Amino acid sequence: MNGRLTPRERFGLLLIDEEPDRVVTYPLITSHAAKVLGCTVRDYCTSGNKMAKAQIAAWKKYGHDALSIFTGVGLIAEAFGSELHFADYDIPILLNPCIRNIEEIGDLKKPDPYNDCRLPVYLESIDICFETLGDILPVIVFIPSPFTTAGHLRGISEFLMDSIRHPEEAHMILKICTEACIDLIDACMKLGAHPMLVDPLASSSVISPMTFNKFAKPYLRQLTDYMHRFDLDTMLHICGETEEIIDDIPCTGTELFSFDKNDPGQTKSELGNNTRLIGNISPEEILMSDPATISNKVRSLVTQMKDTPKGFIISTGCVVPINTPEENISAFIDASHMHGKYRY
Amino acid sequence: MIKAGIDIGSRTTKIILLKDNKTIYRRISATGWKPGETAEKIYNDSFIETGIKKSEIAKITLTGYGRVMINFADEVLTEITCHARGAFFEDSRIRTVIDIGGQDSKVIRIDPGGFVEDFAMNDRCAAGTGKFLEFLAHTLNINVSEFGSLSLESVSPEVISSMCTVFAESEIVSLLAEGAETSDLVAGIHSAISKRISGLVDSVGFEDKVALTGGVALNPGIRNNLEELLNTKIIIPENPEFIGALGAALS
Amino acid sequence: MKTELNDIVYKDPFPARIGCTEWHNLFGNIPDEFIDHYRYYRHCGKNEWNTYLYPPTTFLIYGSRYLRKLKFDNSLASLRLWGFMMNESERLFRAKQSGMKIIANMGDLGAIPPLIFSFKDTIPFYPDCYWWTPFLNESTVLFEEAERLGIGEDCCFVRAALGAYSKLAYFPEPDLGIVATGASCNDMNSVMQSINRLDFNMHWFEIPHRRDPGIYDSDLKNNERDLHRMDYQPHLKTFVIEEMHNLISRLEEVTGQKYEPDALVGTIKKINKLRGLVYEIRDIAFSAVLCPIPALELMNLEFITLSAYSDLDEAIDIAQHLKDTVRERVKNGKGISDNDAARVIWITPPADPILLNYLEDLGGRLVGTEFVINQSLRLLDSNPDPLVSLSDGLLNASLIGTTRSRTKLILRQIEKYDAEGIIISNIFASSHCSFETTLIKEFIRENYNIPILSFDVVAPGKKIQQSQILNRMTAFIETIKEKKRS
Repeated sequence: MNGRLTPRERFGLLLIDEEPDRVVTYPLITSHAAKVLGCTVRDYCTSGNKMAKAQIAAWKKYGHDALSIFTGVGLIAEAFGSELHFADYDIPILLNPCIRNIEEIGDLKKPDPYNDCRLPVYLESIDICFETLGDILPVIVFIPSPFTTAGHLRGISEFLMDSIRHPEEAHMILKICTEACIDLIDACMKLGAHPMLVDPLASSSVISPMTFNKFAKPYLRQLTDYMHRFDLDTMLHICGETEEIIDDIPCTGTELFSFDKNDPGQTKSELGNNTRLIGNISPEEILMSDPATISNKVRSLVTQMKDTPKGFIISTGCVVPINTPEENISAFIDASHMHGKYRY
Repeated sequence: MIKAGIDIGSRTTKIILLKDNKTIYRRISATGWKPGETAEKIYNDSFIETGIKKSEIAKITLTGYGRVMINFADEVLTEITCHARGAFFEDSRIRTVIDIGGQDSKVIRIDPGGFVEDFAMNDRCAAGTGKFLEFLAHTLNINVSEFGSLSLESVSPEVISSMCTVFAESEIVSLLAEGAETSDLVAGIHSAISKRISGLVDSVGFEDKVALTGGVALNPGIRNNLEELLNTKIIIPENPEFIGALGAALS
Repeated sequence: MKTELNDIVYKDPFPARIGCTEWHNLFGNIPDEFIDHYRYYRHCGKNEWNTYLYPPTTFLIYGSRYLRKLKFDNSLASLRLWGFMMNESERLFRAKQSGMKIIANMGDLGAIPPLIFSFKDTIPFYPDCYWWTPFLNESTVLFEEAERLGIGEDCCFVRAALGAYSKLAYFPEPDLGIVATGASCNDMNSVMQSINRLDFNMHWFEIPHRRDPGIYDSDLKNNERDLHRMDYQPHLKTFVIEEMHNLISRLEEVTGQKYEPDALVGTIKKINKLRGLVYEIRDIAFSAVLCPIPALELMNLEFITLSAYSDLDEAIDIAQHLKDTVRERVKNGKGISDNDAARVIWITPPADPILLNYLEDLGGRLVGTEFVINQSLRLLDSNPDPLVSLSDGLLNASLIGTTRSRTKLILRQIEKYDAEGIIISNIFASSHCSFETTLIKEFIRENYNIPILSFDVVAPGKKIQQSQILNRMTAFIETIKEKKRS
């Protein structure tokens, strides 16, 4: 491990407003870990054991500061009954939403995280990761948020239409999605995982600020309120654009905000006094670029952001693409270690 | 009333059936890798061989290291309690029980009522257990069952100074190379294990009569060594390997 | 037991020991107002950071992995104790952020904190107590850091304090470290000397060996109230007072305040309130037919007397809450043990907290302890010169005299609480355990024919050795119960 602190110790200091030894380095390595292990993405997504082994293998290779339990944002919707398409070397995508007609929402039944669909896969993966490396690494589990889940229950454009034409029903869907999210969050917490809410459909690239405020934010708030009851530092990741809703982010209740396409300096000045920031080397950059360029970009970002008043974690704007060259990720990590020092 | 006691040891599993506190059946079998299955088989086999029905068994008690893996017992007790009970039942004069098992050894002091007063265990290190003997028998390329009679032939026992099984093996190999007699080496091994045991006895204190139980009790060489070190006569109960199962069945 | 807050009432469920998951679920029943109300450093006002009433899951997520294997008392008061204790690391950082001075105490185990507390906005804590962290986290990182700095497996688990000091991720850099030398165990000394080499601000405090005046047996049946009194030669007090004066000069330098004897008198009153509550809880618990509070909570409670887990006022409130809970349980004939549980005195705190769970799982219960902190359990005398009181307090320490004098503390409890067995958990590689255990057994046996079990507690992760300890404890409790049944 680089530095005299373990990632847990480092992360722990950040969360209590203390300066760690260096910037927490946390590229969002999820399905890419399957490539590191040498298994298919399909296996990664459907086997808790494989997912855990892949995460551990990726950590051994790269030495980043947290494990990430995540296969895609359709997880909870799938457990409700939506169908996803799995491929050997690509992330699962929505194939058939389970609610074809708005009248069917009464049929929605909350899934059981311990038994239904692939929810137990996450739990098994968390259990193994926590047992194997949980003393030195936080185990972060990505929880698809109510808004994004609702979009995967109805179909994304259908749900966006529902929010205009059938707002009451849209809220009913969101309510049951929130309950399902809480059940999953609860099950993950009991195993030692630290939840991070992910809400890609809530980005300004997809919806208007008004829709965000009416249909996404209140439900994110319910989740953060639930986790705050346990004194958990809550994390929210929204990939895509979020500059238009930047003022609304604190109202979600999140302590940490993981951003993507926003200007980092702007985000620091707007949020950095009250929110810890996570971001934002672009996935396209880390996939397509070369180690030297990535190294320079990381150096520049870390130098710019490490003095964020509430703290900064260097990361990627969204998940590291599966086929990212390993030397690119290593360049990211090395540059952060070299230029992100606070003490020692 | 018929009661059953099963002692699931690391090397062997033993069963005793008692009817009105008299032994009516006794069997020993290798434990193997699946203690649960072995225990169940030895239990079921007892009905086949005796003609007794399962419903006639008033109580089944388990002991031994494998006891925690089984769920069909009425009671589960440690080997300490069972060896004390079994030895005292065989001879109520016994006040100290030395049990040298496959992977551990223990010394138990019993009060005049047959209850455990104090005990000490060595389960950290192979030295002082049956494992020590087996390991070194393998080095000497002989069967451990020959150890007893071989040691009695010793004229000038070798001194094995290492307490660690691995280092003891190195010592024996060097001594063999120097021309040491197998009987003298075996006597030396017995002496090493007995010293270890007598140290365990000292930590608990002993009181006459002293009994030796477990499979190693059948080794006259070790009994002789211990008698010399403790300066007392040692009782070997009948069927010493079954004392734990007997104590379990008596519960 | 009902706890009332304004008009809101929370009723504890029927007493039981429950796991992490059960507490997570039960936590949902606790009103938000209680979570909002219980705070540390109340003088800092209501901040987003000074709440502490959270279930074990919270601390599990932040790294205390062992909590998923432990069992906890299911009372609100016990949850407060756990949350308060587990929160201490963060609390020390918040203290420093709020402008308070942080003073590390090592080796004196409770004798000096009253003096620290008498200085305004100055907080004592014990790096020694981080010896539990590797067990609670199921992690060897602190030991690895200590090894990197030259202290390895041949030193007891207290070497975790060196690791913690080096990393400064478990507590902030102390403004001063007070390290007890002299009659202080060798392992502790080697750790403290290694910390000293790291260039931290340190003050060496010499503790004299407690010379017995020669009276041993006469007080076996005495001292109903003061189970903790040790005898010593009076001239030693003068030496200790002088050491206190040296320390005071250093504290005045660090805090920028003048020592006020009246302030210390006031602090002593508060410390005595805390110690008195702990004494009463122990007495109620050890005397009750059904033990009203589990052994692990009793140990956590006993250690609150060292430095109040860095917040004296809140510690007193928690102890009062626990006392009310325990008293209520006893009054209603409720508890967490069976009425034929084996009555056991535990000597030397187990580094592995699960061993205290095992005691109750196997049908035993605690009726006494000698957790090497006798000096923190005893009420301090009220003397016009508070330094005389503190010095007398220090000279009652468990480990600074002969083993025979330490055994007196145990013999009194055997007598008073009708103990049926003794467990001595040696700290692996600890210098004092290696010779004391044999002597303690001998001295107890001079007076009582009582089963005594001793074993070495091993480092985290050694599952086979832990199961061997469980096997021995099982046999030991069986031994006691068989005899009771006859």
